[in-house]
Amino acid sequence: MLTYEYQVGGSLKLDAPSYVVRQADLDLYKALLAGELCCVFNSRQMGKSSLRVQMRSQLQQVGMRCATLDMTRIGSEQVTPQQWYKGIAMDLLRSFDLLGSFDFKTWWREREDLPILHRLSLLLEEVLLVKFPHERLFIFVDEIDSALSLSFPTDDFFALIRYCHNQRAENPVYQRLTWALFGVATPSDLIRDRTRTPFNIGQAVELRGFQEHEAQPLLLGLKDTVSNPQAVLRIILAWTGGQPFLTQKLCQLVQGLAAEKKSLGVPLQMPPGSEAFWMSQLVRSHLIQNWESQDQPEHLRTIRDRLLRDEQRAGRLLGIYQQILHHRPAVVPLERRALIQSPVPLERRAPKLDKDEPDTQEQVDLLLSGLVEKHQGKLQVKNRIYQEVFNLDWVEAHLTALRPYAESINSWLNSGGFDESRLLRGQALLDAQAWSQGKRLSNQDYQFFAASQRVIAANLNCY
Amino acid sequence: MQSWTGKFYRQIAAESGYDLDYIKEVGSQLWGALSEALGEKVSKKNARLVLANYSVATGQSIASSLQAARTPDTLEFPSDAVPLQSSLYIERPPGEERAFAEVCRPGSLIRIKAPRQMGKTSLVLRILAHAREKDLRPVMVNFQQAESSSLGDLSRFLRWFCVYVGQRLSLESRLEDYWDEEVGSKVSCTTYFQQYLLQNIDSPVVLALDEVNRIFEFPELAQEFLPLLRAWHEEAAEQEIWQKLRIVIVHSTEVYVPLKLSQSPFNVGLPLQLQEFTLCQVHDLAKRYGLDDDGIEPQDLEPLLDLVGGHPHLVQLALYWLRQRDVSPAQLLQDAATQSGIYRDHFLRHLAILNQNPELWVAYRQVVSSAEAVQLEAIAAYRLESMGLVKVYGNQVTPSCELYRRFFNNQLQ
Repeated sequence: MLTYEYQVGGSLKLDAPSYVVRQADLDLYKALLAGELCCVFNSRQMGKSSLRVQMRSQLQQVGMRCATLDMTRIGSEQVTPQQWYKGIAMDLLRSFDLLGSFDFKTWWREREDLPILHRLSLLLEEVLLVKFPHERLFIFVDEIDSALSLSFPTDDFFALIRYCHNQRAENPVYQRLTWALFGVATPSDLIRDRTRTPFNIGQAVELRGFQEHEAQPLLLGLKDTVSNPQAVLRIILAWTGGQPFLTQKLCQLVQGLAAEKKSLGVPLQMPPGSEAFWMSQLVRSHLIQNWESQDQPEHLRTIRDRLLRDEQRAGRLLGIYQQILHHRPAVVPLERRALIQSPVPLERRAPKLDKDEPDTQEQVDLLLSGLVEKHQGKLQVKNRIYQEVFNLDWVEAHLTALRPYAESINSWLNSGGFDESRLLRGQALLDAQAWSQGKRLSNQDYQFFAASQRVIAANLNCY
Repeated sequence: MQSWTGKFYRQIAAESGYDLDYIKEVGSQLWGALSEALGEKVSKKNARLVLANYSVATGQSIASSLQAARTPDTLEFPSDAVPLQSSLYIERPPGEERAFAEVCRPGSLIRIKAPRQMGKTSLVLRILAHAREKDLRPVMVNFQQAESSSLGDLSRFLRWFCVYVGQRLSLESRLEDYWDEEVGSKVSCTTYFQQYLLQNIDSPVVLALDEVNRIFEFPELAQEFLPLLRAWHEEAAEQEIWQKLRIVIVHSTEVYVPLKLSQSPFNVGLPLQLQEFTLCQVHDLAKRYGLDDDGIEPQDLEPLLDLVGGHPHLVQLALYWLRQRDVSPAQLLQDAATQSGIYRDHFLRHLAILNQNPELWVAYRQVVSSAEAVQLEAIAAYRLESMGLVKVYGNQVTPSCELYRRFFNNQLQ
């Protein structure tokens, strides 16, 4: 007998019983059928690739042709533009299963005089759309952000996608070709020239965490395991906020624990009403405590690394995140110079972030890390697990590790900014400022510097 | 007896060019073929001899094994993997069962991580044997045998990989038809697998990749090749032909190469960690060694287990020597942590490696001389862990057993 299995990490297989159909599934399917250019951009492990696998299969079932271009598979650090574009061409043919029936090498060689992008576009128009004269074709481009790490700009490729989309009006054959783009990125990362980007004409499909009514398929694996599966699922979702990876992981943990108990002959005891307590014990012991060594497959460590990897900006990211933890609205960063000259308390200066306000790069970084999400225009921590793992203590420990003047600033902050003896003077201030050069620090750092300078200036005026 | 051996040599000769692991892997197949050819069942004793012989034929020193085979007890000396037919293989549930089920699933991926001498290869041999029973095509690739020069260059490496796997599948190399440096070697390699190798085999292939940790030493290669394995695994969800590929990744150390989450094969598939033997398993093994015939009771082994824990290889060595009746339990215990005890060769091998790597020497000295767990620089910790010398919990490092603490604390001063 096949047992019900959850899947933690990696894209879910087509027949995976634990696949959760979300609003995004319906939105994307509808938009694709309507021939829209679709963009699914989100943080890691939110189920983008699983969604892609499902879409492809659904479309194929109704007679459409699909191909997937995984950008990580084509590019590598050393690849040249020539190799990259030819790689795309070849992978497209492979994915449409045309390599066996089409002499690609010769075809490509015969067009060597043409610019490479032109050749790729001819391949679409004169080969793909001709080989499949009646079917609609869908091309899914996944892991689009990895195009960013290449040593050459890839704007041309994205411009080609936009071109295909625009061609539909003039050349009806292009109405049979539809693109969908997936990745951890923002449109502005991907293209520099706004008139050429496909991302502002594409339809963004929003991918949210599992809602309880959507997550019902997950019950199946719990129903032979616990006596009150619905209550357990609800509590799991309360911990994970529906984040797919964590939700699958918690379901799997419950299932595994029950199986273990069963093999020992002691059934899992969870009296009605005790589920929340029981789950919180499980979450703490298996996810939160010693999370860095328990994080298998990797999830939390990736979030950590995304926050800390760029030392020049880690301070600023942590600072903004710290404010979010304090339930303060995220502030739009001001010019550092302006801050130092006019140290105004944070709360008074910070405007409330509304929906239409463009995100700063740091806010985008936090969003893409997956740690926070936007709720009614405000950034907030995505779920309770993140909140407990990346808590204030964690932030402070890392800020301390970053700052050479950690001890002084911490004492100063603890005194509510009153203990001026803790401010930096002389060489210490010069050293700290030299260290801060080129870095994006938290507002607290800049307030600390400003206060130090003010005291020095005040002392000078006394003499 | 002679003719059997002669026959076997001819078989080996016919297979020449294959590496040790491959021969190990087809060992049982050969055995069957041998029985058939001779119209007579080949005994366990013979199989052992035969195994020893091919090891010699391929230049591996396993003289001790021959010697063991000649003892009245016909015990094999615990050296490499436990041979397929050996009664001395201890199952560690539910690892085997889960792996057997997984390997039969389309497009599956299994990861086995454990330090050296914990029984990884023994497990892989059994997975491959099971695969063969289920009419899958087992292929073993050991990266320890890849040349450094080809590991330094992505294109060369992938070409080697394609040819190697093709040979194991008895498919002639048609690299030139499929390889196109203009599309890059990763796309070429994928095309070669999809359009040629997978296309031309009737049954699915189980690709067991041993000593993948060797790849970690070449970060540039690792960052291209490892994501490729992940991509192939994921491809099975979308293209049926890739369901014919099942991958088993075996590595002895933590993955210390930075890999992007979405590209790492180490967070998908079925992970298996080989645990040390439990007390029950040690008692079971002692029985299989026949120690109860010698009047050695389970409780007599307890002081020994305090010293070596459940480390499979160290336990096997002790049981082997006890069964040889060369040494009494008390004597064995008394000398265990010295250069005159049964672990002498084992220690010397480790010492040789530490001698060649002063930074490991210093790091390990720190570990064994401290009563508490210590923190080490990550790479040193991983390398010591992969040698089996330490256990790592988070960033805390301790010696993997009391035996090591005692011996190396003396030696490394």
